[in-house]
Amino acid sequence: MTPYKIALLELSERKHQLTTSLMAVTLGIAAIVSVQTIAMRSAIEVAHQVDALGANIMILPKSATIDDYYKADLSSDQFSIPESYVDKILFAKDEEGLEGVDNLSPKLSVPLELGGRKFTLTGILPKNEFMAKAAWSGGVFDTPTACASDRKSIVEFNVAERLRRKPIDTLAPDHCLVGADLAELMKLTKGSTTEMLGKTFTVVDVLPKTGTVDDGRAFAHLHTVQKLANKGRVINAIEIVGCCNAIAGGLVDKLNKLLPEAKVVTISQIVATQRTTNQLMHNLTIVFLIVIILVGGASIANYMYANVYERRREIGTLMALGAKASLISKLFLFKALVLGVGGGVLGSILGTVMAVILGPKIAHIPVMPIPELMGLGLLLSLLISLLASFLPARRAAKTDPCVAIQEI
Amino acid sequence: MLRFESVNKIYKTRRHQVTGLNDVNIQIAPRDFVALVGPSGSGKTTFLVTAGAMLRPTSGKVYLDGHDICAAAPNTLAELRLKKIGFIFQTFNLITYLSARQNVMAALMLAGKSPLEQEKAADQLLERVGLADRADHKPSELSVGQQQRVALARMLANDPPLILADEPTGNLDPQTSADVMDFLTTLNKEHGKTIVMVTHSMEAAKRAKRIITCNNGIIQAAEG
Repeated sequence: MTPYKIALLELSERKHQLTTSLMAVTLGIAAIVSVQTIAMRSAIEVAHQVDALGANIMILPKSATIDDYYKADLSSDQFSIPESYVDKILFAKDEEGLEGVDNLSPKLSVPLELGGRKFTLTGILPKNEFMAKAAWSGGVFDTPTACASDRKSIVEFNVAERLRRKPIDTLAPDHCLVGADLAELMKLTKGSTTEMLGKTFTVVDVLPKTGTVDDGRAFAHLHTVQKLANKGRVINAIEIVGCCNAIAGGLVDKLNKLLPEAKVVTISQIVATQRTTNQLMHNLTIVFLIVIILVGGASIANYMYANVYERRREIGTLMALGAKASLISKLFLFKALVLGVGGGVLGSILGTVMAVILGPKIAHIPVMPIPELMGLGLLLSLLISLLASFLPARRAAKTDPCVAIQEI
Repeated sequence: MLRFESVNKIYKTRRHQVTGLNDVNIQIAPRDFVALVGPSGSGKTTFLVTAGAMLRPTSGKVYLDGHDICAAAPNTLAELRLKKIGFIFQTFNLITYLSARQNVMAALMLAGKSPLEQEKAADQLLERVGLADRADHKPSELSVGQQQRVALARMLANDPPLILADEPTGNLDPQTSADVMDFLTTLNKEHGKTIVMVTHSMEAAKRAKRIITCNNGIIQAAEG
């Protein structure tokens, strides 16, 4: 015989009370685990979608607006920033933990006239540019690894496209890429040549149509464009792929502090959506957390207090036989432990099953189990059970052993 | 074995004060067998639980085998109860969801015996009280007399030198009462146990070596 065996035998004798308390904890934990599982999956999904859009932060000259950027109207000298800003961000990323910057793409746009039409020649740093432009790449590059969207499904979605195309790591000084509209208008194809700003370029690829201003642009190496435009080491903008979660977590503020001379803008609507979704789910989880703590805790405390009251003669008898107060506490805390583990395991499983079944119907996303959440559910259940049983266990330990002799 | 020195116990309620023990001075020697008799509310049970290190007196000193019960810490008192005192309850106080064997094992567990030692010792004790064949039965499956015998086996688990019995025959039929009294007498005479027994039955009291009368908390030795 051990104290734990006594506790287990006692629990098994009171199946109805045990079931009721267990159910309260189980349902509470199930509610938390299911909501949190859906919320986390939903947040990952939203974050992924935002990340998949490509660059979502722009670093522009102080006097420029995002409209100027999209109109490619940044050719004036006042709309330039030093190229060294790129190093500043890269350096901060490595040394000071500027987390959430997954790719940056410095750009210098200059006006261009081809065949009597006005276009824009944009200088880019090749691989960075492509990695930042997920909309172009169609999955040429993996999604940023550090982002919340570290999920393979979208990448897998574009497997065919990825195989068809190869990433372009370098762009030679006389190579260029042309947007779909520009290629069509100027009848440019892969391998053809064209003259821009007095220099002959070979078209190494025609970019697929994106429906953005990029369709009407030509892209050459940044340093080549800088030379042709006689602008020195300056750029007009730095496009950044910031992880959605990092943007919501204050990445823009950090960049603003890092580059006080520049203007940091973000696609605020997308971030706001993410923030709202996350906040809603977060609030919902807090509500459930309060409910489970109150209902589950009260149910267990009630069960334990009733148990202590009903078992007071038994406690008194054990004390008369020589049991110390600590052993009596242990008996009741062990019961709480059993309830906590039982409720935690059942609740986590039930919650996960609910999330997997209901998630696609409620949030319209596929929901996979999150093992860490199941572990947290178990931990929470244990914590609630033990906390709710602390006072009843203490009361049990303080039982007057004389009740063993008194008529009850 | 047991010594009360000017012991008073006063129960205080919101409006009243009730005297449980009134200046009790008594000494119970080893191997003594004392019966405490008296009307209900006279202080018998208060005396018993005070002697059993379960109740601290309002004033005075109680010594058990030289240990000052009143000054001891709760854990020391639990240790004293475990090693020196065996309780017999009127209502047996068996744990309902444990079998006869497990009830005895629970007492052995408190003494730190291993489960194997507990089982072996419990079976021997149950055999001693004639219940070897009922070891796996729960209290509800045993007769009242059998339940009291399980309680006796449990009381003997840690071989206590002092036995405190609270109306041990109060719930029993005459034959079972006689059996229980025989058992207690044997424990006293042959095994040298000191017994303090609270009883309403004069027949049971007469089996003791001396009878002490309680009245309004005043305890007097009536017969020696």
